[in-house]
Amino acid sequence: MAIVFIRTVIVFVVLILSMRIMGKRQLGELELSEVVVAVLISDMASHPLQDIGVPLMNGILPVIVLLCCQILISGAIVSSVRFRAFICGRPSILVENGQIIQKEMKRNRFTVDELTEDLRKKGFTDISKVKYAILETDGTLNALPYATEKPPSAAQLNIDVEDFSIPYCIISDGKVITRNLVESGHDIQWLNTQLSIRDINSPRDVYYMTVDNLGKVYFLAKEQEV
Amino acid sequence: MKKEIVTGIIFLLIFALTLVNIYVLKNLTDGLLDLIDQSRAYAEKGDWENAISKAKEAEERWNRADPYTHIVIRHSEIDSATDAFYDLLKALYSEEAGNAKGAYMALTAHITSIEGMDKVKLGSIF
Repeated sequence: MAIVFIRTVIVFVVLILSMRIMGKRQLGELELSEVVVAVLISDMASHPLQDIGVPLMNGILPVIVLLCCQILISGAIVSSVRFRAFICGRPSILVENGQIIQKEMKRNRFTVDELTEDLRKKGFTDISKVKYAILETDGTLNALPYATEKPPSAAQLNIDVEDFSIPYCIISDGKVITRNLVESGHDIQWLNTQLSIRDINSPRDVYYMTVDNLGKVYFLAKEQEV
Repeated sequence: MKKEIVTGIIFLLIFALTLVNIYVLKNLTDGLLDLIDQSRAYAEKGDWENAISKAKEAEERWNRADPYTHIVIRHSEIDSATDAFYDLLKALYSEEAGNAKGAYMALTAHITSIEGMDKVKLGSIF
Protein backbone atom coordinates (compact mmCIF):
# COMPACT_ATOMS: atom_id res chain seq x y z
CA MET A 1 0.00 0.00 0.00
CA ALA A 2 2.84 2.41 0.86
CA ILE A 3 4.31 1.68 -2.56
CA VAL A 4 0.97 2.52 -4.19
CA PHE A 5 0.82 5.76 -2.16
CA ILE A 6 4.37 6.86 -3.04
CA ARG A 7 4.01 5.80 -6.69
CA THR A 8 0.77 7.79 -7.01
CA VAL A 9 2.40 10.93 -5.60
CA ILE A 10 5.45 10.48 -7.89
CA VAL A 11 3.30 9.93 -11.01
CA PHE A 12 1.17 12.96 -10.09
CA VAL A 13 4.23 15.22 -9.74
CA VAL A 14 5.86 13.86 -12.92
CA LEU A 15 2.65 14.40 -14.91
CA ILE A 16 2.23 17.93 -13.53
CA LEU A 17 5.79 18.79 -14.53
CA SER A 18 5.64 17.12 -17.94
CA MET A 19 2.29 18.69 -18.83
CA ARG A 20 3.62 22.03 -17.61
CA ILE A 21 6.55 21.63 -19.99
CA MET A 22 4.17 20.59 -22.78
CA GLY A 23 2.66 24.05 -22.49
CA LYS A 24 -0.69 25.72 -22.17
CA ARG A 25 -2.07 24.52 -25.46
CA GLN A 26 -2.59 21.00 -24.10
CA LEU A 27 -4.83 22.13 -21.30
CA GLY A 28 -8.06 23.29 -22.89
CA GLU A 29 -9.99 25.02 -20.18
CA LEU A 30 -9.06 22.93 -17.15
CA GLU A 31 -6.58 23.81 -14.45
CA LEU A 32 -3.32 21.87 -14.85
CA SER A 33 -3.75 19.72 -11.73
CA GLU A 34 -7.34 18.94 -12.78
CA VAL A 35 -6.14 17.68 -16.16
CA VAL A 36 -3.55 15.45 -14.49
CA VAL A 37 -6.14 14.03 -12.08
CA ALA A 38 -8.64 13.50 -14.90
CA VAL A 39 -6.02 11.68 -16.99
CA LEU A 40 -4.96 9.45 -14.10
CA ILE A 41 -8.22 8.69 -12.32
CA SER A 42 -10.06 7.45 -15.38
CA ASP A 43 -7.45 4.73 -15.91
CA MET A 44 -6.52 3.88 -12.32
CA ALA A 45 -9.99 3.20 -11.01
CA SER A 46 -10.77 0.77 -13.79
CA HIS A 47 -8.01 -1.77 -13.05
CA PRO A 48 -9.55 -3.42 -9.95
CA LEU A 49 -12.88 -3.48 -11.81
CA GLN A 50 -11.40 -5.42 -14.70
CA ASP A 51 -9.18 -7.72 -12.65
CA ILE A 52 -10.81 -9.17 -9.54
CA GLY A 53 -7.41 -10.46 -8.42
CA VAL A 54 -6.33 -6.88 -7.70
CA PRO A 55 -7.51 -5.62 -4.28
CA LEU A 56 -10.07 -2.83 -4.65
CA MET A 57 -7.89 -0.81 -2.29
CA ASN A 58 -5.26 -0.61 -5.07
CA GLY A 59 -7.76 1.34 -7.14
CA ILE A 60 -9.36 3.39 -4.38
CA LEU A 61 -6.19 4.50 -2.61
CA PRO A 62 -4.57 6.22 -5.63
CA VAL A 63 -7.84 8.00 -6.40
CA ILE A 64 -8.06 9.38 -2.85
CA VAL A 65 -4.36 10.31 -2.89
CA LEU A 66 -4.80 12.10 -6.23
CA LEU A 67 -7.82 13.94 -4.94
CA CYS A 68 -5.82 15.09 -1.91
CA CYS A 69 -2.93 16.18 -4.18
CA GLN A 70 -5.31 18.12 -6.39
CA ILE A 71 -6.97 19.93 -3.48
CA LEU A 72 -3.61 20.71 -1.86
CA ILE A 73 -2.15 22.00 -5.15
CA SER A 74 -5.26 24.10 -5.82
CA GLY A 75 -5.04 25.52 -2.27
CA ALA A 76 -1.37 26.35 -2.75
CA ILE A 77 -2.12 27.95 -6.13
CA VAL A 78 -4.72 30.22 -4.52
CA SER A 79 -2.53 31.25 -1.59
CA SER A 80 0.88 31.64 -3.27
CA VAL A 81 1.53 33.81 -6.33
CA ARG A 82 4.94 32.21 -6.88
CA PHE A 83 3.56 28.70 -6.73
CA ARG A 84 0.73 29.71 -9.07
CA ALA A 85 3.25 31.05 -11.57
CA PHE A 86 5.31 27.86 -11.24
CA ILE A 87 2.39 25.48 -11.75
CA CYS A 88 0.10 27.43 -14.05
CA GLY A 89 2.66 29.66 -15.76
CA ARG A 90 1.95 33.25 -16.76
CA PRO A 91 -0.25 34.61 -19.54
CA SER A 92 1.74 35.24 -22.74
CA ILE A 93 1.16 38.20 -25.00
CA LEU A 94 1.32 36.83 -28.55
CA VAL A 95 0.16 39.98 -30.34
CA GLU A 96 0.85 43.52 -29.16
CA ASN A 97 -0.25 46.61 -31.07
CA GLY A 98 -1.00 44.52 -34.14
CA GLN A 99 2.46 42.92 -34.16
CA ILE A 100 3.03 39.22 -33.61
CA ILE A 101 5.65 38.67 -30.91
CA GLN A 102 7.65 35.87 -32.48
CA LYS A 103 9.69 35.10 -29.37
CA GLU A 104 6.51 34.39 -27.38
CA MET A 105 5.06 32.40 -30.29
CA LYS A 106 8.15 30.20 -30.29
CA ARG A 107 8.19 29.87 -26.52
CA ASN A 108 4.58 28.67 -26.51
CA ARG A 109 5.09 26.54 -29.63
CA PHE A 110 2.24 28.40 -31.30
CA THR A 111 2.12 28.55 -35.09
CA VAL A 112 0.87 31.51 -37.08
CA ASP A 113 -1.88 29.29 -38.52
CA GLU A 114 -3.12 28.44 -35.03
CA LEU A 115 -2.96 32.08 -34.00
CA THR A 116 -4.95 33.28 -37.01
CA GLU A 117 -7.44 30.44 -36.55
CA ASP A 118 -8.01 31.41 -32.91
CA LEU A 119 -8.25 35.08 -33.85
CA ARG A 120 -10.84 34.28 -36.53
CA LYS A 121 -12.86 32.45 -33.87
CA LYS A 122 -12.81 35.71 -31.92
CA GLY A 123 -13.96 37.64 -34.97
CA PHE A 124 -10.61 39.08 -36.07
CA THR A 125 -9.51 38.50 -39.65
CA ASP A 126 -6.85 41.21 -39.65
CA ILE A 127 -4.02 40.91 -37.12
CA SER A 128 -3.24 44.62 -37.42
CA LYS A 129 -6.66 45.30 -35.82
CA VAL A 130 -5.67 43.40 -32.68
CA LYS A 131 -4.32 45.49 -29.83
CA TYR A 132 -3.49 42.48 -27.66
CA ALA A 133 -3.81 38.71 -28.11
CA ILE A 134 -3.10 36.95 -24.85
CA LEU A 135 -2.59 33.23 -24.40
CA GLU A 136 -4.09 32.59 -20.98
CA THR A 137 -2.76 30.04 -18.49
CA ASP A 138 -5.64 27.65 -19.25
CA GLY A 139 -4.65 27.56 -22.95
CA THR A 140 -7.37 29.86 -24.31
CA LEU A 141 -6.54 32.85 -26.48
CA ASN A 142 -8.12 36.19 -25.67
CA ALA A 143 -8.00 39.00 -28.19
CA LEU A 144 -8.65 42.68 -27.50
CA PRO A 145 -9.24 45.18 -30.30
CA TYR A 146 -7.95 48.76 -30.42
CA ALA A 147 -10.25 51.19 -28.64
CA THR A 148 -11.12 52.71 -32.02
CA GLU A 149 -12.26 49.30 -33.28
CA LYS A 150 -14.54 48.63 -30.31
CA PRO A 151 -18.28 49.20 -30.71
CA PRO A 152 -19.42 52.18 -28.63
CA SER A 153 -21.20 51.43 -25.39
CA ALA A 154 -24.59 52.80 -24.34
CA ALA A 155 -22.80 54.99 -21.77
CA GLN A 156 -20.51 56.45 -24.46
CA LEU A 157 -23.54 57.20 -26.59
CA ASN A 158 -25.45 58.63 -23.60
CA ILE A 159 -28.38 56.28 -24.11
CA ASP A 160 -30.56 55.16 -21.21
CA VAL A 161 -30.92 51.42 -21.24
CA GLU A 162 -32.79 49.17 -18.85
CA ASP A 163 -30.45 47.15 -16.67
CA PHE A 164 -30.84 43.41 -16.62
CA SER A 165 -30.67 40.78 -13.95
CA ILE A 166 -30.10 37.05 -14.03
CA PRO A 167 -33.41 35.21 -14.24
CA TYR A 168 -34.23 32.58 -11.62
CA CYS A 169 -35.62 29.30 -12.91
CA ILE A 170 -38.85 28.81 -10.95
CA ILE A 171 -40.35 25.82 -12.77
CA SER A 172 -38.35 23.34 -14.78
CA ASP A 173 -40.24 20.62 -16.63
CA GLY A 174 -43.20 20.73 -14.27
CA LYS A 175 -41.15 20.87 -11.06
CA VAL A 176 -41.13 23.94 -8.81
CA ILE A 177 -37.62 24.92 -7.66
CA THR A 178 -38.54 26.27 -4.23
CA ARG A 179 -35.03 27.52 -3.45
CA ASN A 180 -34.98 29.74 -6.56
CA LEU A 181 -38.51 30.91 -5.83
CA VAL A 182 -37.47 32.09 -2.36
CA GLU A 183 -34.19 33.62 -3.64
CA SER A 184 -36.12 35.60 -6.26
CA GLY A 185 -38.14 37.15 -3.41
CA HIS A 186 -41.45 35.44 -4.22
CA ASP A 187 -43.55 32.74 -2.62
CA ILE A 188 -45.95 29.95 -3.60
CA GLN A 189 -48.91 32.31 -3.44
CA TRP A 190 -47.30 34.59 -6.01
CA LEU A 191 -46.53 31.57 -8.18
CA ASN A 192 -50.12 30.34 -8.00
CA THR A 193 -51.35 33.81 -8.97
CA GLN A 194 -48.97 33.86 -11.93
CA LEU A 195 -50.20 30.46 -13.03
CA SER A 196 -53.88 31.37 -12.69
CA ILE A 197 -53.31 34.53 -14.76
CA ARG A 198 -52.09 32.19 -17.52
CA ASP A 199 -54.98 29.73 -17.06
CA ILE A 200 -52.71 27.05 -15.68
CA ASN A 201 -54.00 24.82 -12.88
CA SER A 202 -50.80 23.18 -11.77
CA PRO A 203 -47.01 23.74 -12.08
CA ARG A 204 -46.95 20.28 -13.66
CA ASP A 205 -48.41 21.89 -16.81
CA VAL A 206 -45.49 24.33 -17.09
CA TYR A 207 -42.39 23.42 -19.07
CA TYR A 208 -40.21 26.39 -18.12
CA MET A 209 -40.75 29.53 -16.06
CA THR A 210 -38.27 32.16 -14.92
CA VAL A 211 -38.45 35.46 -13.13
CA ASP A 212 -35.76 38.12 -12.80
CA ASN A 213 -35.17 40.74 -10.11
CA LEU A 214 -37.18 43.27 -12.11
CA GLY A 215 -40.19 40.96 -11.94
CA LYS A 216 -40.07 40.03 -15.63
CA VAL A 217 -41.54 36.57 -16.10
CA TYR A 218 -40.71 34.17 -18.90
CA PHE A 219 -43.34 31.47 -19.24
CA LEU A 220 -43.64 28.38 -21.43
CA ALA A 221 -46.51 25.91 -20.97
CA LYS A 222 -46.03 22.22 -21.62
CA GLU A 223 -47.13 21.04 -25.04
CA GLN A 224 -50.16 18.76 -24.91
CA GLU A 225 -49.25 15.17 -25.71
CA VAL A 226 -51.14 13.83 -28.72
CA MET B 1 -8.18 26.95 3.97
CA LYS B 2 -10.18 24.59 6.21
CA LYS B 3 -10.70 22.27 3.24
CA GLU B 4 -6.95 22.20 2.52
CA ILE B 5 -6.13 21.50 6.17
CA VAL B 6 -8.62 18.60 6.30
CA THR B 7 -7.22 17.29 3.00
CA GLY B 8 -3.67 17.59 4.32
CA ILE B 9 -4.65 15.65 7.43
CA ILE B 10 -6.33 12.93 5.32
CA PHE B 11 -3.25 12.81 3.07
CA LEU B 12 -0.93 12.33 6.06
CA LEU B 13 -3.36 9.87 7.65
CA ILE B 14 -3.38 7.71 4.52
CA PHE B 15 0.41 7.76 4.47
CA ALA B 16 0.51 6.83 8.17
CA LEU B 17 -1.92 3.96 7.51
CA THR B 18 0.30 2.66 4.72
CA LEU B 19 3.20 2.62 7.20
CA VAL B 20 1.01 0.81 9.76
CA ASN B 21 0.19 -1.68 7.01
CA ILE B 22 3.92 -2.33 6.48
CA TYR B 23 4.31 -2.91 10.23
CA VAL B 24 1.30 -5.27 10.45
CA LEU B 25 2.44 -7.18 7.37
CA LYS B 26 5.97 -7.49 8.74
CA ASN B 27 4.62 -8.77 12.07
CA LEU B 28 2.51 -11.36 10.27
CA THR B 29 5.28 -12.56 7.96
CA ASP B 30 7.91 -12.53 10.73
CA GLY B 31 5.63 -14.72 12.87
CA LEU B 32 5.05 -17.07 9.96
CA LEU B 33 8.74 -17.29 9.07
CA ASP B 34 9.53 -18.00 12.71
CA LEU B 35 7.04 -20.90 12.81
CA ILE B 36 8.31 -22.21 9.46
CA ASP B 37 11.91 -22.13 10.80
CA GLN B 38 10.86 -24.04 13.91
CA SER B 39 9.04 -26.58 11.76
CA ARG B 40 12.11 -26.93 9.52
CA ALA B 41 14.33 -27.55 12.55
CA TYR B 42 12.05 -30.38 13.70
CA ALA B 43 11.90 -31.86 10.18
CA GLU B 44 15.70 -31.83 9.90
CA LYS B 45 15.83 -33.84 13.13
CA GLY B 46 13.25 -36.26 11.71
CA ASP B 47 10.60 -35.15 14.23
CA TRP B 48 7.78 -35.10 11.65
CA GLU B 49 4.99 -34.80 14.23
CA ASN B 50 6.25 -31.50 15.64
CA ALA B 51 7.26 -30.29 12.18
CA ILE B 52 3.66 -30.85 11.00
CA SER B 53 2.26 -29.20 14.14
CA LYS B 54 4.34 -26.04 13.64
CA ALA B 55 3.62 -25.94 9.89
CA LYS B 56 -0.12 -26.32 10.60
CA GLU B 57 0.08 -23.53 13.18
CA ALA B 58 1.69 -21.30 10.56
CA GLU B 59 -0.90 -22.27 7.96
CA GLU B 60 -3.77 -21.52 10.38
CA ARG B 61 -2.27 -18.14 11.23
CA TRP B 62 -1.96 -17.38 7.52
CA ASN B 63 -5.59 -18.38 6.89
CA ARG B 64 -6.81 -16.37 9.89
CA ALA B 65 -5.22 -13.27 8.37
CA ASP B 66 -7.13 -13.86 5.13
CA PRO B 67 -9.68 -10.99 5.51
CA TYR B 68 -6.79 -8.56 5.97
CA THR B 69 -4.41 -9.98 3.37
CA HIS B 70 -7.14 -9.97 0.70
CA ILE B 71 -7.52 -6.23 1.14
CA VAL B 72 -3.85 -5.32 0.91
CA ILE B 73 -2.14 -8.08 -1.11
CA ARG B 74 -2.70 -9.15 -4.69
CA HIS B 75 -4.93 -12.22 -4.60
CA SER B 76 -2.60 -14.19 -6.88
CA GLU B 77 0.21 -13.76 -4.32
CA ILE B 78 -2.08 -14.99 -1.51
CA ASP B 79 -3.06 -18.04 -3.55
CA SER B 80 0.61 -18.86 -4.31
CA ALA B 81 1.53 -18.65 -0.61
CA THR B 82 -1.47 -20.81 0.38
CA ASP B 83 -0.49 -23.40 -2.24
CA ALA B 84 3.07 -23.36 -0.87
CA PHE B 85 1.70 -24.10 2.65
CA TYR B 86 -0.23 -27.11 1.38
CA ASP B 87 2.76 -28.36 -0.65
CA LEU B 88 4.83 -28.25 2.53
CA LEU B 89 2.19 -30.09 4.58
CA LYS B 90 1.93 -32.71 1.82
CA ALA B 91 5.72 -33.28 1.94
CA LEU B 92 5.70 -33.41 5.75
CA TYR B 93 2.81 -35.89 5.94
CA SER B 94 4.58 -38.15 3.46
CA GLU B 95 7.78 -37.71 5.55
CA GLU B 96 9.93 -37.02 2.47
CA ALA B 97 12.97 -35.06 3.64
CA GLY B 98 14.03 -33.97 0.14
CA ASN B 99 10.58 -32.74 -0.89
CA ALA B 100 10.09 -31.05 2.47
CA LYS B 101 13.38 -29.14 2.08
CA GLY B 102 12.25 -27.79 -1.31
CA ALA B 103 8.79 -26.97 0.04
CA TYR B 104 10.30 -25.04 2.97
CA MET B 105 12.43 -23.03 0.56
CA ALA B 106 9.47 -22.27 -1.70
CA LEU B 107 7.22 -21.24 1.22
CA THR B 108 9.94 -19.08 2.81
CA ALA B 109 10.53 -17.38 -0.53
CA HIS B 110 6.81 -16.66 -0.95
CA ILE B 111 6.40 -15.24 2.54
CA THR B 112 9.59 -13.18 2.25
CA SER B 113 8.42 -11.81 -1.09
CA ILE B 114 5.06 -10.79 0.42
CA GLU B 115 6.90 -8.96 3.20
CA GLY B 116 9.29 -7.30 0.75
CA MET B 117 6.52 -6.33 -1.66
CA ASP B 118 5.35 -3.39 0.42
CA LYS B 119 8.71 -2.37 1.87
CA VAL B 120 9.61 1.17 0.88
CA LYS B 121 12.75 0.72 -1.21
CA LEU B 122 13.92 2.45 -4.36
CA GLY B 123 13.63 -0.86 -6.19
CA SER B 124 10.01 -1.40 -5.25
CA ILE B 125 8.99 2.18 -6.02
CA PHE B 126 10.58 2.42 -9.46
